[in-house]
Amino acid sequence: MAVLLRPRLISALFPRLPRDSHPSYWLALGLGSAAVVVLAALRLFPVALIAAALLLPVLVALYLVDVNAYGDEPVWALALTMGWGAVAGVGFGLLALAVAPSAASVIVNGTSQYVLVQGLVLPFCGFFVLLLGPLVLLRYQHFNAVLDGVTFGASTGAAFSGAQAITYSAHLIGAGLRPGGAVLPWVWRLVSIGLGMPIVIMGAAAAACAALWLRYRAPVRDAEALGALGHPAVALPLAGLLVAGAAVGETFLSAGGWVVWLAVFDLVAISLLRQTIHVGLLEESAATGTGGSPPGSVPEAPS
Amino acid sequence: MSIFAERASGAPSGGGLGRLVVHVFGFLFLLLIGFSILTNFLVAPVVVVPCTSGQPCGAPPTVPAVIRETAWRSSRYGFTLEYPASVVKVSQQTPSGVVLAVDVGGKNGAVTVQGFGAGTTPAQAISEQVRGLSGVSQLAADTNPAHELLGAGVGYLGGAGRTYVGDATSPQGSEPVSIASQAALDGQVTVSVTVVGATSDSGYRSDLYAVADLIVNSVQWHG
Repeated sequence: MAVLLRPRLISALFPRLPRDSHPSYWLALGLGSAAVVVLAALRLFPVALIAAALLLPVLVALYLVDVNAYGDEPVWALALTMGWGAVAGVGFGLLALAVAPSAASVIVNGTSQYVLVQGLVLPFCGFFVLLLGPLVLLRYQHFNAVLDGVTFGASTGAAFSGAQAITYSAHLIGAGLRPGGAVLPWVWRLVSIGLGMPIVIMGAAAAACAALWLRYRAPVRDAEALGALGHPAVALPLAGLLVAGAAVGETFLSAGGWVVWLAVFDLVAISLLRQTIHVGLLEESAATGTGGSPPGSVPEAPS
Repeated sequence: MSIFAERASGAPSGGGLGRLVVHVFGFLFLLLIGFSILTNFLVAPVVVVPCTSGQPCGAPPTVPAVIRETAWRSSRYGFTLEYPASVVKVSQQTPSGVVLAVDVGGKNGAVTVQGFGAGTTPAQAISEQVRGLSGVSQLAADTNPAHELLGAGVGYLGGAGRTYVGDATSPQGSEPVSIASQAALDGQVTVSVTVVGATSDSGYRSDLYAVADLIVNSVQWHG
């Protein structure tokens, strides 16, 4: 179990990927991240922000194609996951813009409204709204594996994060190619927006969806495999709190401090997710009789 | 060796793209970067050519009608200032300074006025005041020559002036802000005035800066 707590990013976010494909995905993630940093170093901040926001959604889209995650139902399944995530992200980006206090207001009135609304309420509510798309897919027998839930949650979370960041930063895009600003804080900021926060949202959404699939799609014996963490009544609020906890750090930490804060939340989200994936893989193995004892079962006594 | 259970043979097949993943990702990512550069280029604001000294530079900025001037006095340093109460409200105050909230035609901003002892130069006063602004990140000097403050000063005394750019950040993203700061020293006290607003609401022809100018010029050193 201790090994399951190791935060392996690619195998957690892309559980259906064969092991020999992991280096390619790591390389793509590394090159994409390097491109974002180079764009920031060239002071092309709006372009760097768009690139950071799209980094994980593009990788997720490639993964979905790569493993043929949606089988014979790609269009509407994609619409209810990445499509819904993008729509919800745009909606919450606009909502955040509407309720956000201006910089002048923060200076004048302090940060209490900012902390509560943008740091806690919006991330928490946004998380549950993004889950609505995958929830529709829960009804379909075609997607009855726990790993389907993980895939739907992660892909919806990636699209939500990217769309929200781009929508909220629309004013920046209108400020020209090189609007000015300090490079290093921008790099930290882009790492947070492009990797830190999306990974928390993807991990939390995937873990929440896995709990839902485990409860309503898996065999009864599997539903108890994760204990309380596998119950939606525990897993969903916990995942929501994880996202809100990650987001609220931005409101009182420096740009670099928020990166460290997010890294801790990323580790927790990925560790949580890996445990649910383990159950999903055991479930698949048990269903096809390829080995491994079913989750939650008592190990056989040695003969 | 993975701790994860072995993949079942009936699960969706994986890794169809193989090593092509990096190439496809690179192509798509570069395409999106190119598209975002194009979008930025198309929606970028028109570059403003800086005014040439001694030459006409267009109409003067509009100033909102002054309905009622209200005075504020620093009990510590003795300087006073006036502001139009119809669009400006006192938000916070201390014996040495005041934070004014400006709402003019739906455009919001903040003007902070701070007094310092004679040992503080105008440049130091600006740095200290700007460093103390909360809610603004990625702060850097504004290098656009069109935004340079020419003939900066406070209360008709020449001093220092600087402009900055930064971002009002949140967990959801960033919004650009502009900052202009001026300070002057009369021998006994240094007064620094800083105006902060969203970049879209700021600029030398904006109502926000026009109101800030009224306040800057209203400073009387020994009220």
